[in-house]
Amino acid sequence: LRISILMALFFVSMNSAYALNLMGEPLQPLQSLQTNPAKAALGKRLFFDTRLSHENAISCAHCHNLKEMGGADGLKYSFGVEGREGMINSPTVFNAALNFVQFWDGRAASLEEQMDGPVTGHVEMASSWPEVVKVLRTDQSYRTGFSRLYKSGITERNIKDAIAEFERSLITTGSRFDRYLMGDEHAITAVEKHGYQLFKSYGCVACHQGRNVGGNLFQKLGVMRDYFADYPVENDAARGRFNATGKKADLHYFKVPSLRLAVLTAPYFHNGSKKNLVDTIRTMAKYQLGRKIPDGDLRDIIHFLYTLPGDYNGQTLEPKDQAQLKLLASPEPAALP
Amino acid sequence: MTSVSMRIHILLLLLLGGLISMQLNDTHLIQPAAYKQIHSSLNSIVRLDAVSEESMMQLQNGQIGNYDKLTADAVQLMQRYTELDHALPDEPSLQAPLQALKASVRLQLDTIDAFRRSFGILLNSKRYASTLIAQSIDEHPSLTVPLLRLRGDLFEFLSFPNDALKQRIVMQQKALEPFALADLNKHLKIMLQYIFEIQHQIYTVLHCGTPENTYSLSDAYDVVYTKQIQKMESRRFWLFGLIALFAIYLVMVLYLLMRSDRKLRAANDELEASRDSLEQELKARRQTETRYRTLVDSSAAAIMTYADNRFMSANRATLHMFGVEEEKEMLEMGATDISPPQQADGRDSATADLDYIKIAMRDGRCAFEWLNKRKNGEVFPAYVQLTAIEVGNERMMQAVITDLSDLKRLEKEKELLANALENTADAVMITDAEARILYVNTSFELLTGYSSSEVTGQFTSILRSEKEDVSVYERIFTTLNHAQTWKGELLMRLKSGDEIATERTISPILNESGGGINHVAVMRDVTEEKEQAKKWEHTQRLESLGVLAGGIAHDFNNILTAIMGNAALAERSLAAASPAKDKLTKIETSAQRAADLCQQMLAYSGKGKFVVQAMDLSHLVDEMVHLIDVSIEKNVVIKYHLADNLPLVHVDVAQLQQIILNLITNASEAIGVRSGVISFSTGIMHADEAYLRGSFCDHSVPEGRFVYIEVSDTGCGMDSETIEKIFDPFFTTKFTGRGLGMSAVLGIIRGHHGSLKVYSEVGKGTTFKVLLPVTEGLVVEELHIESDADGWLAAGTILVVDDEDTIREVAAMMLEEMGFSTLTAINGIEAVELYRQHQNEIAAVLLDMTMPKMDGKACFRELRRINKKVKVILSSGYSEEDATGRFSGKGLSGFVQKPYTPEHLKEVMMNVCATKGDS
Repeated sequence: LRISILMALFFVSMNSAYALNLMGEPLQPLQSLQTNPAKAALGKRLFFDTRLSHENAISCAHCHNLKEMGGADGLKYSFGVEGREGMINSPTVFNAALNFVQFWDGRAASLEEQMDGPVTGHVEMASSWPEVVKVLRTDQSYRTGFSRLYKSGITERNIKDAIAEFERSLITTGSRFDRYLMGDEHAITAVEKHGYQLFKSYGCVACHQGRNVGGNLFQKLGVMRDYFADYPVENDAARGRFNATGKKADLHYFKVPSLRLAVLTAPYFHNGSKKNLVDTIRTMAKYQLGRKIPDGDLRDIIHFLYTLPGDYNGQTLEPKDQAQLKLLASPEPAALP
Repeated sequence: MTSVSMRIHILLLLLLGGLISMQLNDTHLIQPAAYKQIHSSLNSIVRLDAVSEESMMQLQNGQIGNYDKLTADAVQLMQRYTELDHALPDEPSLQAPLQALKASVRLQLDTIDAFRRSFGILLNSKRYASTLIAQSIDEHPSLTVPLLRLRGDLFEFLSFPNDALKQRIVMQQKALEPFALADLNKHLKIMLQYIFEIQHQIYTVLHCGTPENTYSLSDAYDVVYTKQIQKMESRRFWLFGLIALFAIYLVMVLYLLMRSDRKLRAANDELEASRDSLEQELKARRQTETRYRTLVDSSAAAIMTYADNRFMSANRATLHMFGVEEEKEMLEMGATDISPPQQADGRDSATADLDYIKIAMRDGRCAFEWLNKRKNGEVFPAYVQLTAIEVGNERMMQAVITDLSDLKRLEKEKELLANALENTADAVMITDAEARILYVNTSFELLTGYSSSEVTGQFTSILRSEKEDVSVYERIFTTLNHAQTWKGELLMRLKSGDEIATERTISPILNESGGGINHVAVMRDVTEEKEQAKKWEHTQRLESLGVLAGGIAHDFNNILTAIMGNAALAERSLAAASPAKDKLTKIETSAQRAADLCQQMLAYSGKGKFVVQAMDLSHLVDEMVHLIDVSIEKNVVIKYHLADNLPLVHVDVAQLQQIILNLITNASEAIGVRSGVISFSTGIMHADEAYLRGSFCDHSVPEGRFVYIEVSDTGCGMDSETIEKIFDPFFTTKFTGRGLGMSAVLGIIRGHHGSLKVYSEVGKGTTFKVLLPVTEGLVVEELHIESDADGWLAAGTILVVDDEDTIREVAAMMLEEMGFSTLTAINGIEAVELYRQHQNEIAAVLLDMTMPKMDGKACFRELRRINKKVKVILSSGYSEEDATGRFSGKGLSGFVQKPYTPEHLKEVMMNVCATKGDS
């Protein structure tokens, strides 16, 4: 009896998702953060300003394309000034404000701290803050813009604050899935609902949870199998969190990325080694879950993932073509639940 | 207060200030806000610790949604701790609890981090376990029982993990090993490992001691805070004491300062006053020095000092004067370097210089003229003043040198100008603005009779004539005041009292600003000129009258020719006894008188000279003696003084006779009824221009040798006004006179290019002197026309050319009576035509001078073209000279003056025909 009770408890805890109780859901809807619109607007201008880089070559938007690439750049590694190639895949800037730390290795505790990386990085914008401040001070409109919002005018701290404020405004609320979470039963299809169930039942949700569907813990890449035995290390970045802490226990640990815009931000993994979600999920299942996911379930999970992108500037970021699904053979009608 | 004691005071004050600031520094530590914040942070840590523990428990119970919350809480916990760490005072007693808290928080956070990883991994396996076991049962049905038992144990273990169950599961796992359930094994292994790990992690978090450490830190902090407050109280007490001490001390020092300041100010005022006076003195001295320096430097004269024949100093003018650029160069020279070797008087410069220095040493100063030399070698005259001076104890010479070269040059220029002014023919007078005479030249002295010294300083009014209109002077001054030159005629009273007309030019001498200071007047005596002009005007008038008279006479002559001709012819055609004959004779006589009058008119006009002969005037007078004698009254004695061997003169005898008779008659009449003497003389003289100028007649008469006839009487004489008028036509003093006599005389003399001088004094008598130019080299004896008319008979044809019908007819009749046949033509063209036709018959042509269409001159030319030897007798109402002058050298055969009588014409015709045409 004790066992059966325990089992019942276990299964209830596993399968009670159908009765949608928001409190108990591992995924939560996104909510806009409080921002100062004037600072955000100034930050947006800076975000698109090439003067933040050496010789005015590139802006933040160079690697974080807000319009088409879901806030990333669609490349394995990004290119900085003078075509210098980076060492790690660019993550999306959308919802980055919700990540508990920044960078794959979490070496920056905040967005402001994170900004030092791209602006001063040799393979990225290759500039320096004094240089940026000097350049921006020659611009009359920036001088007035900053002096209106900040007592100290154009300074490194204020530039970072403005850009961070802009990034905090990049929360992709209003996704179909969020509408579903908040009670709209018809916001997503039955297939997508099934995909969500699978996402939970396969254990993806063990790491990719919360409102950002990830981004709130470090996890080892290769829990069930040695990932790096199969995918040789390409550069130092592969050491993950170890680079930030120097602890051996942190070797190959990475920040779990958000899946909110996953359908838009190919290629995947820190090294951009997987070009599509199908291969990515298969790889994840193999190395992280220690299991195989059948194509039908895979399809439904991807369907589910397509419900996650929200709106930006009043327009949905969700792509209509669902190109990621075309890599899989059409499902048998019977496979549908 | 001395400065030393002041320093001590300041040091003490500083010390007190330092103590106060130290106390202040310690006192300000307590901040209630910090206290609140620290406690708030401490409370938050306790709360977050509890919350995170709860989240972990809930996660363990499957509430996966708490992941986000756990993460956020962990982040917050870290932030709160960091805040606390910063806010806590640096107090040793707090270090231990703080470190303890730090360790527990770090442990808690690390554990939470690890928990999240582990839990994810465990959760995955946990979820997969039942599926995996079900799959294994499907694959190995034989193992259903052990697998189901394993599942039961596993779930129990997962719910209540314990070592006993773990041992059992490990046992079962070993039993299943041969069946190669690799995946199941792997996941079982994970679950066995991670379940404990999670338990351990939760335990760790629960017992990490964060709340306890927080509380102990809180207590420790409270203790510290209380201690701080107590300490602050005592410090505040001390602070107040110190401040009070400081204030009292400060007041004391300030009082002392004030007292000393008052003293200082008084001393300062005194000092300032003395400084001001010193400064003023200095300024005055500087000014004086500058003034003297400027005085010396700005002097045009070279000023220098020298001793031992070396210059000690030199002013700027010195350098300039000697052409030296720098004073240094000047100071290397001595007096001999700036002088030529020898002076103007021939003395050696060095010796002369020494002499002067000796004089200056003796007398204190000396001045002399000296020749100096510039650097470029130019020698210039200078005026040198030497003064012996003493500078300090040193005796030296001061030399003041004035360059006289400009002065000398100016003097020369001035001399030149003065000479020019003195020697100019015009009188020059310079006056000042008030018309006071400053200067007059020699010509002025000569003109006015005043000497320079007499007039200098006098007003120009001494020269004014009473006759001059005052307004003239006003005009002069107006003109001068407008800085313009006045020109005009002005009467001037001479020293003698006489007044003369002067042409005067008065110019203002302007100064630089354009104002007039002095006036210069240039004047010239124009009395004589004016008289000359008057005379000239008179002559002109007479000449125009002459032209008129000549014209009238010419026309009259034509008329008279007709009258006389017709009368004569008529008389001849009458019987001797005819009573009309007498009448005709009277007509002839009257016509002859009219002709005489015409002759006089022509003579007056200077055109009446007909027959020009070279004559000895004495001879002429001799011949006239009996005629003269009958012309004068009996009470008059005539005395002749006739010169012998007079040179010949070219004269018309008849006219000359007319002159003589006129003069004799006038002289006789001037004597009147009283007894008187007329002296009649001839002679030769040389008349120069000045002599001729005082005569009547043309100015054109050149100077030279003249033969003269002088007629003097002892009659009533004439005043100057009468003399002026005697030559005017129709002027007469006689009751019966026609007033043409003297006019004719003058006309004749003019016609002979001669001159007439008149001297007369009322009551004493009058002298007329007729001057006739000597015809140089003329030796031709006088012509004697032989009159043999009676035996002569004319033959041939004569062509009569005249535009006047009456003349043509009369001439034709006269000629025909002589025996000529005649042809007549009314103008030159017809004449030429007729001559061409009758060339062989025509013996001579009687040609009128003035005709319409073709005049006599042109006609004569044409005729000569036809026949070069054509005989032409010119006939004219004008005198011969006047008429033939136009034909000079052209081969005229003869001339007949109108009016002519048949006898006169016959005479001319005989002459012409006798010459046989080879004139």
